[in-house]
Amino acid sequence: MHTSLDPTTALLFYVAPITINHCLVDLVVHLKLTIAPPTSTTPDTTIHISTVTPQLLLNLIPTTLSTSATHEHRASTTSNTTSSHHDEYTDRVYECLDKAAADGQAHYPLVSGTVTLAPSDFSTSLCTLQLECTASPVAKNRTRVSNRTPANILHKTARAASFSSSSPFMSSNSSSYFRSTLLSTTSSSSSLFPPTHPSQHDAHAYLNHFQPLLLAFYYRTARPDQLDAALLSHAETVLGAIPPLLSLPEVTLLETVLSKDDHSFSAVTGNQSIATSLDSSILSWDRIPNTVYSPVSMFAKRQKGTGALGKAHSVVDAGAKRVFAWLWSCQLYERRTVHLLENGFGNGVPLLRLEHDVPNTRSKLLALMVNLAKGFDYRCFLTRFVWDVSADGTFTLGFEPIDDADVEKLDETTRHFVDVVRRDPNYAGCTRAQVSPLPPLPLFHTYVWSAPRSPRSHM
Amino acid sequence: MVRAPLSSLTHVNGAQTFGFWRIRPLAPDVCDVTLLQQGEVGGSIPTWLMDKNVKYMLKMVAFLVAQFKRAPARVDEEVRASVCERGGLD
Repeated sequence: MHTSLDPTTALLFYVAPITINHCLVDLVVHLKLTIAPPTSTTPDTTIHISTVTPQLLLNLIPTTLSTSATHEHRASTTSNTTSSHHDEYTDRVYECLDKAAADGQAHYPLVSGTVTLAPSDFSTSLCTLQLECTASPVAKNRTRVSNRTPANILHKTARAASFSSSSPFMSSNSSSYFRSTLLSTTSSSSSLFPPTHPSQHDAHAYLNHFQPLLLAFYYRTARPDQLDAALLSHAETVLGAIPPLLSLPEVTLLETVLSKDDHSFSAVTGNQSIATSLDSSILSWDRIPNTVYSPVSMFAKRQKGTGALGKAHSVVDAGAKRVFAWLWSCQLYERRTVHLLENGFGNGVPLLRLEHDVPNTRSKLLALMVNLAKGFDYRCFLTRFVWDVSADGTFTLGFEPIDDADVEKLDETTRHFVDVVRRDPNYAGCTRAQVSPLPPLPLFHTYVWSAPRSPRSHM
Repeated sequence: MVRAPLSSLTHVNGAQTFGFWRIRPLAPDVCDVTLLQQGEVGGSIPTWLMDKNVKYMLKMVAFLVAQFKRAPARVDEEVRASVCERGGLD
């Protein structure tokens, strides 16, 4: 059933049958589409989602009727409206309303929220879904729920991450990715209930109904190859600009990591006599077996007390700037896909792969969840990258784990990023771009839906 | 499908990695890439076991090579031209 209020707003009602615990529940959904006028400072398109209570629906439909007069309203509406307003859903809408009125409003599941489409870089949209579901104890009629079901209404809030970007790199990387990630945070009332409470399952089921909305947005417009190419080009352009000066911690990081190499000083100064596989320094390394005829020469140096130091060397058939742009752009579609294929899909939890550009610096933080091998726990890496380029065009990208002393010197957004990753990598894995502080809600529990297949498979 | 709240992936903190990438241009479209990396995975995995996985740690370079692979003859030609432009090998 569709109606229109004004040129920039549209309403849509439909009935969504949802199966919960083998019970079919009809969910009446109300969508309100609002398109901001071009003169607006925020030209976003917003879709308001809500399930409809009889009272709400009657308020929205421009006819004054009481709940008890639903049947009369149906008759009058049917006779007075055009055929477009009387489609197959209309009867079901009223049927559900009748049933809801008979059962009482308290038993009606309520979902409300918004889908916001904001224009972003590279002709992409930042799609944000924010939902809140109030699952009333409607489940008490089901066999799975015992009489101990609390009468309190359990609130569950699913909140899409809001992303912001402050540096060119960040905006280029983050804008190309699927933003349908849902972060679900439970309100403080959830502490009253065990996490497996049936009402939570109900709420989750209702929210799950809206998940395909963003998936559809994504899959209908997915063009990973084009966006990867655009991102790389943009990264190269940014590299060509004047970079910010290296700060003292950044210089220290580069010197520290380069000292691991035997020719660290000449590497810093750009002496081209280094970095050949025939370099004498390489003789102190043990060649890794089965790499003699490989295009990549690999060596290892065993050290007492620490892990082995590995070194790989090869010639890549692309320009240095191009290769560096590829390395620096950690959130390319293809790199995300490889990360998922190599480390698994996290058993339903989006595998952490998150980057954060430190504003006005040459630093970037990258958080990764890595699956070492079957039977081992996942490992969470939080690494800081710093880049430099010498006069001869040699790029150096140093990386080392971030420590607490570094964190204190960073800006607030970066500290929040580190805090989120350290507190719960699974939560951080829910986001596909920069983590920004969410409003006062506590972020202690998270679960998400992610794209079930790699983007590339849909091209 | 109703999903229960997802349980956390069990993970071990303390994993660290450090090192550097060095990308030196050989020609306008050819470069020399070096990766030096050391990793500490934390947890109770013995060091000797992780030493055997150094190759795994370095495989990013192999992926990079495959990613930008071009015809060898063409690449050789570009490198030769670049060497001539620079007036010989350094």
